[in-house]
Amino acid sequence: MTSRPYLPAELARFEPSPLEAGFFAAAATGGLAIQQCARCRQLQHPPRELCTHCHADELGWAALSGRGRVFTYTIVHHPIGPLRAHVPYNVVSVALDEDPEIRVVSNVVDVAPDDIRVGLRVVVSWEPVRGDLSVPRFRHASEES
Amino acid sequence: MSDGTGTAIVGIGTTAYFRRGEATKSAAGMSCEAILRACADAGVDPTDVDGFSSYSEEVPPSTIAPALGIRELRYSGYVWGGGGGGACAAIGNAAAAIAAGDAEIVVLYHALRRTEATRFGGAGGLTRHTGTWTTPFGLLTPAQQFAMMTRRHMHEHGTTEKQIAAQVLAQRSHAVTNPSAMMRTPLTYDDYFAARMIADPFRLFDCCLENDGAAALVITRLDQARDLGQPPVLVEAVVQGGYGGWGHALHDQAAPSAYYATAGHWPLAKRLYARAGVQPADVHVAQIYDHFSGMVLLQLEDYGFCGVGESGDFVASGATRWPDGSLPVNTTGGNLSEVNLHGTTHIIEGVRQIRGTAANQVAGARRCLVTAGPSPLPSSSMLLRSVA
Repeated sequence: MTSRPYLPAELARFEPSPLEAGFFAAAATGGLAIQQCARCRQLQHPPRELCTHCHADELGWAALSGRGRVFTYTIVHHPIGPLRAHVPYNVVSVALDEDPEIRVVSNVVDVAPDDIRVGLRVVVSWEPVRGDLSVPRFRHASEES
Repeated sequence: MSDGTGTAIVGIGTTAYFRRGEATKSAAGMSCEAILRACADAGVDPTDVDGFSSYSEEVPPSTIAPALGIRELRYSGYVWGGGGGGACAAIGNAAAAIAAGDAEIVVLYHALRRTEATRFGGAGGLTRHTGTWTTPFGLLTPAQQFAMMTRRHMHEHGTTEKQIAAQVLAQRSHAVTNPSAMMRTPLTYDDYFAARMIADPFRLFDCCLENDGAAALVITRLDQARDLGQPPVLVEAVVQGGYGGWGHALHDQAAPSAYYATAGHWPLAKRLYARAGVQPADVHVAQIYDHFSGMVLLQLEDYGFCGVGESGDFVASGATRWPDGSLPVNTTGGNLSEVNLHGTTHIIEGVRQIRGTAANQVAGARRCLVTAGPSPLPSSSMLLRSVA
């Protein structure tokens, strides 16, 4: 662990679109919310305009535990732009416990590059980037959690 | 179709290749140079060209047509998607326009002229991509995106870095004996593993070149092709698209887990072989799109040259290495070692192999597979065949 943030906050320059707002509203209160179809209950991520299963456009948000496992990863060594001071850093795709087909791209902030593995147990950890906007990072969790 | 109603590639041409940012001509100037060479190769008067087809291209036909002095533009087509995914689809568009009678002589052209701001692996990624679900986490470049897919394949199937390196070394060995290749220094496993890591598991030589240049091809009806200067190369079958769930999976990484560690080309392969009425064993040589080494292996599985999960063993066996492999792959050196023009040069090499004029000629090659992508949909692929 270092005192500096895992990646520069300026990378998160986006403004959440109306489609994405529910995710970040939940994030502001420390919860992980994933888009869910109000009709057939399917979860999907990233959020889309329609349910990809039943095509309903009534879509809400389901509160999830924020726990999951690393599905795949890369360790970035070749930096671009402002990331020079942050390499090597990992990028992971986390398959969430409630539905492993729901995967969230993020970083594991407390594991050394050589120790990142597919299957690593992780839990979400919110990082404020500006105002009330937070982005999800992950931390190593015990196997039993 | 070899009854005269098919379409054929009758001309090929390229500029010289330049290191990134070192081209002296503009992209339009390089495109015109490549088109003139392709027309000369075909024995076609450039002013008779009546159609243009391209993909991922910034120079429009409205610039090219007056520069060439063409008499009448009858067709123009552009393939959606990104990167090299549309290369074969652009041949498909040309073939469809010709079959429909919309045009008679269609040119496919593509140029790349990169600056620091527009290079593929550069800081431009920070300004171009503002994806909510990827950019804040530093997932910014194609190398990083495809590294994640390759890593998953390694996890699921035990594919090793050294197996992937075998494909990189095979392609470099092809480049060494290809006078037009940019990277002609022999490469050893020690060299490969000593090179700097870009995005694990990809080291430097797993990544395509970034360079400047242009390439072009001339497509016409097979019955007309027989009267021109070169032995016609039949466009036996061409398909575009891909598995719908792939979408833009390399950006959002959201392909269903069962298909994540594929290249998303398997539906294309099925359609392509069915359309031509052939099997993988009927393919003699292949140009497999190689933005990144690992994706060559995943495509070898998608196209049925080996079983799912077996591509590591397949390439490590030497199967893809010219001249002795059972399926020489990327016989110029490909994007990794010859030049990276988004796959236009893969089609050109397919034409050379069927003509019998390649630098690394596969003996008796009568059918060549060319693939384009994986990329955001559509990807594409085709079979080129001899009509001799």
